[in-house]
Amino acid sequence: MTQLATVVSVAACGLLFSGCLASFQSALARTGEGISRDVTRALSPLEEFERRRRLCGNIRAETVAFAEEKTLGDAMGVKVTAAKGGLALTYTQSAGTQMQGHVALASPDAVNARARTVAVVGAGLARHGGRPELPWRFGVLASDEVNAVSTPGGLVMVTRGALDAATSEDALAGILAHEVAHVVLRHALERYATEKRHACYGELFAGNLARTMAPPEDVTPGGLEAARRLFGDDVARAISEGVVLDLNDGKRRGLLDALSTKTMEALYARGLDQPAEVAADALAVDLLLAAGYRPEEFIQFVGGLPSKGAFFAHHPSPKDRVREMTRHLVQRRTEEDPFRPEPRALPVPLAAPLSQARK
Amino acid sequence: MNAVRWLLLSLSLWGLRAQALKSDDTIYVKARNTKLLLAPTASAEVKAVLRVGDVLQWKAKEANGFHAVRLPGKDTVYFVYGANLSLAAPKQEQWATAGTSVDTRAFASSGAATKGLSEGAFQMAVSDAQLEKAARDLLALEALQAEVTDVEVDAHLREAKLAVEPAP
Repeated sequence: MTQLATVVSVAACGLLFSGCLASFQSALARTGEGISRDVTRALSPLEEFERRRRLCGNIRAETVAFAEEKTLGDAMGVKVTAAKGGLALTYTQSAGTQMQGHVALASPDAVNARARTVAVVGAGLARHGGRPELPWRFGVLASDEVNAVSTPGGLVMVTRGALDAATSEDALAGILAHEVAHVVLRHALERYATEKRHACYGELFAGNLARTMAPPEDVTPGGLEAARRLFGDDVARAISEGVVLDLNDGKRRGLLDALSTKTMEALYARGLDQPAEVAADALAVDLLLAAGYRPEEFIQFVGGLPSKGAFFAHHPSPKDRVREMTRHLVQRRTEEDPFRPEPRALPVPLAAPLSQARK
Repeated sequence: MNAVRWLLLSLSLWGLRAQALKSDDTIYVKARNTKLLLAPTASAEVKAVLRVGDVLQWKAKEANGFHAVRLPGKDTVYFVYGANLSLAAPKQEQWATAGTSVDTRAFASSGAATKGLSEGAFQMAVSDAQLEKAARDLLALEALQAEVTDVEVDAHLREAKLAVEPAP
């Protein structure tokens, strides 16, 4: 009886997705794989269902196109920046110029010098991170809370309060390195990809299928339907057909707004899971070692944070972070890495004169 | 109990030692504009400029942070500064449209990474004065970051005595 129900439901899937073959062919053509002889025959409803299920399952952070990642990250960056009172830099813009036109920087002043220090230190670190070709941007948020954030695509921002709290360039580099690590490891993007994957499954399992075919993950049919509603029927269907999502499409402005808000809520209300934070700390230590900084300064900085507060509020406790980073550092120093520079004896003073470098 | 811990630690360290780099092991270029030099000095003649993700074969550690390397399948030994090298390959990136995975070299060539604030984010921001102000700030940040050249970063790293190829 159950088998019969499954067959009927899968047949319904085939009817529901009329034109499956055409979209499959177009998807293959887009990916440049061509269409083999075996594929050109019409897929049975069950084969088509399995194909789409695999397609949904392949939606992971690592398979999100970079343009999609950056658009999402930029939208999140706009919202974070607005929520934190803007960036701590000054600039001028000629009257009448368009927003995307030329933006002239004001003469370097105290604020710009600090912003420039962060930009320089961040650029030096990003060379070692595993995604050096990203358009990395390192800014200072005009907020006095001690915090730092990053968004997919390579936007990293540290608050003025955190910059004030860092007593050395090594500590500042550690704060930036932790955020670089989140981008490199695609942690925020994984939240987005999860929603997208669920929307894809929601489309696939629409109707009775969710009751007759095993749900793909530890989610409820209601959860899948909610994700499907978040993206909207048309987009969910396009995703389930393998279409790359263009978030820059003007028609999807509302969708980008909703997705960036949803991803930010997931990140900043619930936070990343603790293993992700531990992984970001470990990679931060690796980046600091590769760049020649003293990770001890960052570990000490983290150890001095209050147990509860705004800074990395969803992270493991400072005590646990210090323990894990220290353990990781000890392990790394026992390993042979011929490319690692000799460790510095003393930390780099913060705001070391950059005037020489600008010449 | 302590003896067991020490045994485990010793075994793990022994395992790590076994992973030491050997001649002709595969290594990767991790930094942009990495110079392939004819001698282990920064002032040596540049044979080629390598890209992120290029594969090399490691030969030996030289003085002053340089390493002797070979191009795969070639006999000639060249030299690269160690801070530009990695034991691990850089992460792959995704094409903007095809949804397929490409290596970092192809990604860099595509120009996908050089675009400014995304059009979608810009369009979203103009609907709200506060968001628009934030978008303007991010445009200014991009302008600032674009001003920060590799030359400036290198100079700062040298001044701070951090990992960077010596000046020629």
